Amino acid sequence: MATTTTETKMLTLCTSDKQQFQIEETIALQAVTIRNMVEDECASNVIPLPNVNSKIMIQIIEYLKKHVDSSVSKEDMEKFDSAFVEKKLSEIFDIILAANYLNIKNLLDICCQRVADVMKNKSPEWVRRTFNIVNDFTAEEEAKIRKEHEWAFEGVDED
Amino acid sequence: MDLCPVQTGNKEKRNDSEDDDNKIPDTVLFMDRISQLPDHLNHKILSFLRGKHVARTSVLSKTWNRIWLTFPVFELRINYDHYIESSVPDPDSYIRYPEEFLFLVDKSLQRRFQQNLDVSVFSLLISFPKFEPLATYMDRWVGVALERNVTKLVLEVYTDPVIWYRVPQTVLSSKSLTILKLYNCRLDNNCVINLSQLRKLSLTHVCLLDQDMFSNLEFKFPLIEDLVIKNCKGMNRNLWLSPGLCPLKNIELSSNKEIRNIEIAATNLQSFLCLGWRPRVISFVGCVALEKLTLVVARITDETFEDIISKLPSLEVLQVISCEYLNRIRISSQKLKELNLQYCDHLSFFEIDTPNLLKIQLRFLDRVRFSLTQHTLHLLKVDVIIRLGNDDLDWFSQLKILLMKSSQSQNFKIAAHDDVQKMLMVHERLSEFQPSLLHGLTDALGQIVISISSKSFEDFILEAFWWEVKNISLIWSRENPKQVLFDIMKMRNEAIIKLGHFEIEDSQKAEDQNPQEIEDNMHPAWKFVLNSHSTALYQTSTYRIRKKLISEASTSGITGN
Repeated sequence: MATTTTETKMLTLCTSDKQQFQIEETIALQAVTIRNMVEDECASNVIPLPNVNSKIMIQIIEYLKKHVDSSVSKEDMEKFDSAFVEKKLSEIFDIILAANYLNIKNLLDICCQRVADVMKNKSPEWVRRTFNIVNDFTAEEEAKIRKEHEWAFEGVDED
Repeated sequence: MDLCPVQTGNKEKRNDSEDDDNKIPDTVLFMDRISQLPDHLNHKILSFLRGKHVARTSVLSKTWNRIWLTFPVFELRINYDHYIESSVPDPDSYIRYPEEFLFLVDKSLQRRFQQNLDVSVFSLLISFPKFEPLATYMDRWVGVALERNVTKLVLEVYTDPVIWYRVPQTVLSSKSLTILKLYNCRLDNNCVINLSQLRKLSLTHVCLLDQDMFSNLEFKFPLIEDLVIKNCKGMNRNLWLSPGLCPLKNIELSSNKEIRNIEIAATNLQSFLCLGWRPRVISFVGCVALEKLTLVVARITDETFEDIISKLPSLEVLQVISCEYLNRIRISSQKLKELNLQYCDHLSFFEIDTPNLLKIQLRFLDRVRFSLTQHTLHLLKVDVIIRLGNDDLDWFSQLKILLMKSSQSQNFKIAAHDDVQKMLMVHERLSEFQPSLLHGLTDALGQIVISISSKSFEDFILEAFWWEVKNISLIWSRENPKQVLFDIMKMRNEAIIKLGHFEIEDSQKAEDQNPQEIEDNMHPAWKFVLNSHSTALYQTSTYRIRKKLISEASTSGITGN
């Protein structure tokens, strides 16, 4: 495809919407799932990733490219990570699913942390509204559970 | 994904005030994505929340109730007094008596234990007025956690009056535990210890009634890697740790009053920290792998110290802090990479023969004489802080010469500040700095604090906040402005930059004052030092630091322009 004659080995990743991404192998191998596929030689030149769409893949590649760079200091990496997760929650959920599938531990951690940070110290009503969780308890059921966990509800932030 | 606003999802009207909360970028998602994640991913999200916040999710919906019930991490941090304070205005509060409170916590735990799943973490921090009913409940909770093959157990108990919780015998013979951390607990006199999977043991404020707790480690904790003993009672005066074939890598002994003599014979040991209560003798036998040694407030003599160093052939990092009995020491090591010496008040002389030293930190070793055996140093990182009086300038010149021997000395900056004028000066190059010019300063303002470091300008400025300085002057190379950090560049463009609750104001650009004002107010002795260092190659910029009120910090924008 490309005319690169350098020793940099490239891999082609094919996303669910049939987009192809050519990236350096060292970058792609940070994803344990891809590494296993390459090591087991069950992948030809093109690695199919049916669970990841191209829009998410672009973001994941951005993340992997940064994290492969060993010259980046720990602080700068943390800064990058915290800026990286400043996305819409809907995108974060897509990345969580993709990071889980591709097995990229740190990426999964920072995205889950991001979601947890949104929930922290908030009332159940606020969390339901923010995440659009439908309360399918009856009023009685909810009251019962709340009373059981009354000790857990002190110190909730004002909505 | 394109979000189409099919429905607003909420019948309730949302207050405008919520929208101001800019931490939440998209309050409305239009569909419940989170509940559709597989349970193990939601458990992962929950693992980033603390106990109470996890329990609150049980009320969100039936799906979340299930997610919560099957979450294998039990982490409770309960403070009964806080609870009562926050719920007093509520006359319908369910919990009026401490016993009732415990009963409810118990019920909520029981529901989750009913799931019959393994428990990975059981962590209980509890502060509760009465010891008696609590201990009974705790025995039961800990018992169930052990039955469920708990791998990490953390117990931290506060009662009034303080009664230390007696850890059940079954804990000490668990086959599943890999991490055990106990705070404010007590272990029985004749307990049988057989923790065959334990990797980490941490005891803080624990009363050990068995003085031989740490003998025969390899039978009691055959896989132990980390051992932390802090503030424990009932220890032997002589602590002898000989873990045999245990893979014991890290030992931390802090503030254990009774221990006087420590002897360690651990072939796999990599790091050892001893802090407080002045042990007199510390000796190492066969610790050939020990790389990091930290001694804080140890009552060791010069001879003991040299004996320790000579027995540790792999030592790379050495930290010695507040060891008052040290007087003259010599450190000779081919492997040593990092040396940190602080506050050893009676130290008068030290000699180093450490050709591979990369990092040195010296703090408040005023007037200690140094000697260097080798001719060059390869120090990459330096961090020296000293107080200088009028008589110390010759000594300081010697120190400068010594540090300049390093092949990396072009990266060392120097800072000086005083407590009277609260003025800080940072010079980009230690080599260009003239110690003799400090005479005027020490004459006029008494002691000054000197800091020599390879850290960035930015870090110097951040540290300046710590010293509460009011003005900063930076002396930096005209030739190479790129060396100056981004933030300094930003300062030059914007007149004021903000760092936390502080603002830095460029004296040349600020509009609300005469540019000359800062320099006019500067003490002549400082002016002299600054002017003497402003040469064809180096220029000086002066900034004023303002501490802002918190409310101001959130509202005021960047002024100037």
